[in-house]
Amino acid sequence: MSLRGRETLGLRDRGFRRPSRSARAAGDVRDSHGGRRLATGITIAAAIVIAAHLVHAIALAPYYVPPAPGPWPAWIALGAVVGVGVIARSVSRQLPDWLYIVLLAGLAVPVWLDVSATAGQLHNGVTPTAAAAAGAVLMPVAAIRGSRIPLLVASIIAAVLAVEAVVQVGRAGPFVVPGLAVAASAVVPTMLVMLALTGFRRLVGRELDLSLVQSTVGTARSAVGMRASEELAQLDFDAETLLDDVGSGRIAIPVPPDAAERAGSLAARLRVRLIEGRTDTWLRHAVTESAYLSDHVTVVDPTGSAGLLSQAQRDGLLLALWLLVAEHPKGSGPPLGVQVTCREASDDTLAEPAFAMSIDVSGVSRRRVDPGTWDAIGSVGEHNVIAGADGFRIDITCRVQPNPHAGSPSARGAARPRGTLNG
Amino acid sequence: MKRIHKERDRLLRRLARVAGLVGSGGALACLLWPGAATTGELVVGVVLCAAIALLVVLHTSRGAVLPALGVVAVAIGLIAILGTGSVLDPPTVTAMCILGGVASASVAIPLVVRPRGGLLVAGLLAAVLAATWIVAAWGHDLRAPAVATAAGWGACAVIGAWIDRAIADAADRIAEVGRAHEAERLASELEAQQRQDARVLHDTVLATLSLLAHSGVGVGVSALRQQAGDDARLLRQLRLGAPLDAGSTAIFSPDSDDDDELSTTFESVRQRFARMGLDVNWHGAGQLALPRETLDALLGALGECLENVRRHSGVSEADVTVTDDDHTVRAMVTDAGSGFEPDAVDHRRLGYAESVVGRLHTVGGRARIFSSPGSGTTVMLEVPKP
Repeated sequence: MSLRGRETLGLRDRGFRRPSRSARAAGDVRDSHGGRRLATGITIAAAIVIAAHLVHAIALAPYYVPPAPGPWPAWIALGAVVGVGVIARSVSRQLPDWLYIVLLAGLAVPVWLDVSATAGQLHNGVTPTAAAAAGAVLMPVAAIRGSRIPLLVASIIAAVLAVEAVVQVGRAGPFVVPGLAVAASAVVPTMLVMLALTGFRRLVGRELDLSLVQSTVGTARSAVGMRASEELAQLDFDAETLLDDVGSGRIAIPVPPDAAERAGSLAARLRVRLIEGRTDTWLRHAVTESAYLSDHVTVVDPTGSAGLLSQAQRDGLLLALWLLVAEHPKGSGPPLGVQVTCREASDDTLAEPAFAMSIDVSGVSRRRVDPGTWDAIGSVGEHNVIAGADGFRIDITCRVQPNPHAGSPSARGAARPRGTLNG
Repeated sequence: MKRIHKERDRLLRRLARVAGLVGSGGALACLLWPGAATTGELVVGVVLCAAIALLVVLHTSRGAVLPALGVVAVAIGLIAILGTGSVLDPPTVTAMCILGGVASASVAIPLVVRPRGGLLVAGLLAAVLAATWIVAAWGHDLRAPAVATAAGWGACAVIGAWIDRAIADAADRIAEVGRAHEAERLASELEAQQRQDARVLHDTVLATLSLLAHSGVGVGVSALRQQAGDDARLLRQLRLGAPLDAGSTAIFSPDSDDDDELSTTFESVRQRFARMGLDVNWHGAGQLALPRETLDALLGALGECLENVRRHSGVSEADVTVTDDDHTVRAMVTDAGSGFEPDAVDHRRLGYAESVVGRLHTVGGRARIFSSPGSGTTVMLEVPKP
């Protein structure tokens, strides 16, 4: 376990930082694994679109009126730019920024050649082809290098082609329509690719978050959390250093004021660390550690009742919270808020030990909730739903195993198959 | 269906909706060009484009297959109507390109990931191409719509299929990362648990730190040095993962399985206080069959009581008497010191509430104080037997 700097020790619950290894692996998933596969697909799609433009160019070639040179100079220029890009990328995986900018700027050459070759020929049905293909070239670029700049460049190309078509309206008449359609074909594919990429990244980010938070489900009844455990180790280490310094005489006795103060604060923090966390449960840690849950969900559980839940109940509760939060469209309507409250069961007639949990949801109506949520809540316990003014409340009676002390956390974790949440 | 597949389908449907609406809107815009279509063609075109848009929305909101087939059928119908007209002007051809290559092709994105979706998409593409070919028999050149259709369907199908693969890849990797993270969490929880479990060790560390915080006043220099050195050594052992209940370091966490454990542990507590100037006399049972957690709590509370005696009583001697009956183990800490009025002292200030009462409560025990000024203090600690 890594020992962090002591200035970070006082921070707790304010923003959770994942241990670096998990965070690195998480970034890896988004950027390389699925992302590379997606980039391959986008490249193939781009090739199909470019091929269609090429067929179009072949069909149009006989209609170019001399002295226009035909579509080929522009296509050769486009081929050169793409060729340099492909070679550069196969040499070094990471394209240097300057080369990236040069290549993007280089796309101006085929666009300019194409526009100048087709200018004034729209009335013959001659539209740009290589320029529109240059727009499609940006599809894989968006997948590899972030989608904003390629989309901007594609929009510029489309705007240039649209202007070219519109200024010929007097002579070309109805041929302006295919001209504009070609202009649109420069930007629409890249736009779709951008949507696909953002959707994919969001999906992977959320799944990853859930997968990491799921690990809290396997912990014992009360859990100290990963941060707290690292902090405890750090405190122990600081205490060891200080005591060692005293023991070996590096610090004089009577102890100088700064060392005395250090000892006092270490003792205070160590005492807090050792006695606290008794009522911290997996649920609190799950909510704190999740980038998605922590913004919307609050947990009120003074006695740590959530720790009594079995694995299946925990899985269900986590998934239900997840779905409640996930269904909320961003930036529309009232802010979503979910409060989970655990308290002693008011109904003493129950034969088995149980406690009551209520989930207050505000900012989303009951109808809009994913149907999977109710299944998930059903696995926590018997529930009924009470509609409110701007949301609803779910009351759950959670039956719990009489004996919650079931083995060490590691043994329990090993016994539990992962990924049951996906079912 | 797996949840991640649901998410995937949602993403694909969103893409299909954008593409489908752009396509139907674009085709409609082409037809609206003045003189591009006869009035009859225009009316039919507007209705059918609206129908395509509606079917696209219908298909992409729930993912039903039938509206998707409807989208393709209506697009074919509109292509046929436009293509069999007497005159074919550029806007109409463009509209047919967009219908074939964007509007109808949009459904390929979600359809291709269905079981046997590849076949379905290929079949639908073939249908659109065949229709275009048949319509071309009316004498118009429809190669452009055919190329646009093939390219549009191809691109959409590829995007859909590769998003599916990318998500499957990512899902595998996510599961891997999740497993690794879980292992890391369990390890760290376990470590935290071990550290929290080493309560007796932490008691002496806390006591020594408190002494240092008061600059070590009132304790012999060499005793304090030795105590600090001992504690540092134990902490190092804990950090390096030394076995927590090995014989020589029994102060870590006494184990009730071992009969000698209690006396060994007590001996180290006694030595600790002896070094700091308080002699502790032990009376009674040397062996107690208590669960480890209970024993930890009892010894921890005992240590806290002795620390209070050392600090506040003004005497240098204390007695600990341990008795037990069938249900309860009692430990009495007695001193003949200054004593105090229990009700007049804020227990919190002595760390009593948290370190003594709190500890015992967690194992079902309790503590009582008997004291009055001038006549010493007795603290009775009780824990239940299993």
